[in-house]
Amino acid sequence: MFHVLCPLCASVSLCVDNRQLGLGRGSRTVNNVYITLAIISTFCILCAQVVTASAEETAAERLYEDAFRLIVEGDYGEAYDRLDEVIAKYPGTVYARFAEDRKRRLEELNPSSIRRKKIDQSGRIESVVFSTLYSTWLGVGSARLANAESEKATAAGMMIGAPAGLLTSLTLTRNARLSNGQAALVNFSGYWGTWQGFGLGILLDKDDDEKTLIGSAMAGGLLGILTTSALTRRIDLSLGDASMINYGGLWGTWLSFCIAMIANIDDGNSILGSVLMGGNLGAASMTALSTKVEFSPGQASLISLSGVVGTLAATGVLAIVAPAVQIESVEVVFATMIAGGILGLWGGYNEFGMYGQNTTRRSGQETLSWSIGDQFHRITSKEVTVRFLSVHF
Amino acid sequence: MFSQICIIEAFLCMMFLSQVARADDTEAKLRQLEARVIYEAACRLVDDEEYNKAIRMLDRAISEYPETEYARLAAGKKAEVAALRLQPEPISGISRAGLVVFGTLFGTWSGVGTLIILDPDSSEMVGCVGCISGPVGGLQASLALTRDIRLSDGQASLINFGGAWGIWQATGAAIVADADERGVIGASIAGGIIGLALSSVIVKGRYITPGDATMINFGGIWGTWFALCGATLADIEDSDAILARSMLGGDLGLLTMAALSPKLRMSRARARLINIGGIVGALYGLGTGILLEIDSKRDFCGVLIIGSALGLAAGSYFTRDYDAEKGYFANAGEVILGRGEGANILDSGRGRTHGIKLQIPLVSIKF
Repeated sequence: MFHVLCPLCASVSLCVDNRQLGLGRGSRTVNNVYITLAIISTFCILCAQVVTASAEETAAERLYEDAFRLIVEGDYGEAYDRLDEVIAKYPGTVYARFAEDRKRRLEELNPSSIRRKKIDQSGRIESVVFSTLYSTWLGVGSARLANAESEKATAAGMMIGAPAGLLTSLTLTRNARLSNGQAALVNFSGYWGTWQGFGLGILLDKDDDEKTLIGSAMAGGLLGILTTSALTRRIDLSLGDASMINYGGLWGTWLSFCIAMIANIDDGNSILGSVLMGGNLGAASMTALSTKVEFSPGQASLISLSGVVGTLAATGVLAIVAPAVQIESVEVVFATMIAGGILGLWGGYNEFGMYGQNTTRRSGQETLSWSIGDQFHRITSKEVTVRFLSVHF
Repeated sequence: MFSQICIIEAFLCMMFLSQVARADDTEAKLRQLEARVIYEAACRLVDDEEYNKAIRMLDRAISEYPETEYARLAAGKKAEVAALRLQPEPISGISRAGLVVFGTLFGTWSGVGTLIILDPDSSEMVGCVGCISGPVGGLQASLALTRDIRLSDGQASLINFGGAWGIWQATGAAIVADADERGVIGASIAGGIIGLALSSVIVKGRYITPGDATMINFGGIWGTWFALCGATLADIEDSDAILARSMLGGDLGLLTMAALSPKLRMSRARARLINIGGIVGALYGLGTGILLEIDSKRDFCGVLIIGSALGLAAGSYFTRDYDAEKGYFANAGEVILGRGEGANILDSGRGRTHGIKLQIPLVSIKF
């Protein structure tokens, strides 16, 4: 009789009784031993295979799961690579068979989409619409530069510009990463560059020649678009950031105009120069600020709107007070408007700046949380509403 | 010896069969794994409130992996998501901002309009009503009205559009009715209020996507444009008659799109692409009119109409597959849509038409 314990699984024992098998002694016994050992060896080899296969299986399963998850998420490029890995590392297994089938289904798709990474294209249509309109302007502008008098040239420029912009932008953005924020910033740069270029054209050309103005506006716009397009490839900014920069530019322009009025600047070119500079300063400061604070586009809009309302309200107050206190100075009017605007912006920041930051998106209820010692407390707006006092911990 | 061989053979057969059984077991395990991955992805989509996509994912788990436990779980989850989808959503920040901006601007216009109607002599009145009451009142009122409101982005867009459309229609009606300046301004204020109120009532309890809102919006604008060109084409000289036709055309376009949008369930992106196609077409019409030196106003408007219509048609044609599901699961999705339990839910959500499919692969442009 032999008692053998499997060295791998440590749980299998084999018992062979010569008499039960009906075998005699001598050479039969030797044969019997060899056969039994052969069976045991086969069994052990199979056990070893099972254990190795089990470890392999776990690794293959993990890899396949990763690949399939990437397919479900639409990241076909990565998924394709993982499936290849499964096939190469575990050939002849069920995993390899499944991986080959999935790979074949992926290959039936558009070749470019197989190799592409999952990309954010939420801003694509925004860019396409802007590009179409902008290239229409470029077409018209180019025609005016080439032949300022001819209506036909202008029409031809428009007819070439519009579809060229539409088709070019559709082609260029097909597999490009273009988030809402990036698209908004590139579009803003187009407008902003056009405005800045136009302004600089007025400042530089004393005669205000039409061709110079159109040329500088076109150059400014293109420069803005190209610079921002290059920058946004490296920087991933949100739609809120883009909104902040946009409003920063507008508020900078308005406030610098008011300051120029208060400073009693009479020269038109000097006012224009300060307005252009002020706008750039506003946009630049908001660009710097956007890295420190996180606003949603809704918040940025509401804060800016509060500034507008503040400016209007200040004007109203001035209209009420002016007859009584005999205010006739333009400087006072503009100073009051600046004060109203800034107060409005500040009020808007206090009112809406935190809106959505302590709440999850669409949560529908505001939550006030604080901790005392180890205890954590939370009150939702469904339970308590304190609108006149805002405390942030 | 024979019995030994039998034992060995039996043993080896057993081992071989166990290997085969293990392969089958692995296959079942893999299918279970795939079903789990799909189910988990659907749950993530539910968390992100992407209900239509989540339902499609769950349908996939149900129809492609019916033997797994995740098919059963997916069926339960789908019913839950379908119920969730019909619940009104708390307003998003950007939609609320849109409503507040419109409300403030409308409040400001109401203040200024009231001043023009009242024609006060004192500057105090101008400051109080025009510069303070209007904008501040508009801001506060719109903030208060939208504070805890439950509206989808599509509903919010339509309310804003309703306000703007009301102003335009009432102003036009007052001009056609030969009202004086005060009457026109009063009508525009009243029209805005009626438009806002009416659109709020209409969108309440309805499932409106941003794409629907965009379609209705563009329907009104294109209807107005075509009616304006059509009136000129029909040689109508009277400006009031042209205005009246433009307004009616706009209403007709708006109503047509309102009727079509639940059937088409177009995405906002596709609606915008079609619209930009129409604009390019209109520009082409304009350019053609200038290049061909068309002097007649009638013919010029005819060319404009043709250009715009062709642009819109081209936009619709080339974007026909824009909203179709792309990628790995596209074919599976079509099968599911045709027979799955979720077909009705999906049709009411995404609204793609199935069944008849006409393909003319003459021109193929991929966007």
